[in-house]
Amino acid sequence: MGEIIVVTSGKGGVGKTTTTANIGAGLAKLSKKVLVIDTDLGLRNLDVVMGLENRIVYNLVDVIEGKCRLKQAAIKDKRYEGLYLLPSAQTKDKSAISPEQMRKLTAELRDEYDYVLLDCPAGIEQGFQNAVAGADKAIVVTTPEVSAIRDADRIIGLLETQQLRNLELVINRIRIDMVKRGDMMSVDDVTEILPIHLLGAIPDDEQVVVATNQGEPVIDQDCLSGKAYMNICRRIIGEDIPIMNMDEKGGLLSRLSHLFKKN
Amino acid sequence: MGIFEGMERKASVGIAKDRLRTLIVSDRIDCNPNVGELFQKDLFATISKYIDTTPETFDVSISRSRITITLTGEKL
Repeated sequence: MGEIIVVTSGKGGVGKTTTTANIGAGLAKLSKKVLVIDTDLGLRNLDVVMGLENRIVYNLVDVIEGKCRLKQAAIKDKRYEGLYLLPSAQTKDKSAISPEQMRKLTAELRDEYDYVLLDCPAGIEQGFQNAVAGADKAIVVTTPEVSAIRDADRIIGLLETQQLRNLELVINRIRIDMVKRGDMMSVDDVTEILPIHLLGAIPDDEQVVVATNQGEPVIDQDCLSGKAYMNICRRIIGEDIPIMNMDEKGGLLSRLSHLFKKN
Repeated sequence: MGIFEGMERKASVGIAKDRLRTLIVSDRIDCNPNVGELFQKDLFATISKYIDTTPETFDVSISRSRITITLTGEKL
């Protein structure tokens, strides 16, 4: 039976959509059947990040209103066997669907897919309520900034009130150079404040911007963020993978310069 | 001096963490940011009436569902 996972954050712009796209692709790469759903009505974005924007025919609202079947609306990603996208509607608003309808839809999807990932809109209004309604588990995305962590803490509280207690943390956009000089909170600093289990940490990586420009996931590229996302996927399917030491992968040159700095 | 100015500047992580702790406590118990501190002082005043403790060995932490008072430095 499949697992329904909502990717949420409270604050906007911390990387929910990128995280959803890459975890979706990564799980499919690990031979899982995955459906990613964009629940941000009116502000459709997951399709663009995944590079599938030209293939949309039907959307989430059409499926919920019974205008089409899920099989007709779900776009098959040709690059990854087993990866499907259910896009959001660009011309509807949050009130077009209800938490009850989302609960019904996700219950039906459970038999069909190994994982259903819901990309949640920013904020704590109805869009958030819709996205979390049918979820078994939440991935809370944050960045090492005061505002993002504060919002993540608030979201954790709201999820717990909704009886959603299976919560995992992803800390995005860590800059190891800034952490080292004491100008950015480290993974440990953040987990000390946010009382949920750490699923993974993603280094800040220019490659994410490049990949998003191209509508490609980063998991297949030779970069630290891609590896970090793949590690997260392996942890989701139950493998025991230690949290990556972002410092290690500096290469000879940076290790040498580090040596000189010490002297 | 120019080159060393950056090095003398205090690292900002400590400030961020202090601000966050205050913010999160006030968000969690829905009160003004300074209430957490006053609350800690009042609890200390009350507890120290009955238990031998000092501000250094006394700590209050607030999560969403529980307020924990920790006393450290147990005497033999």
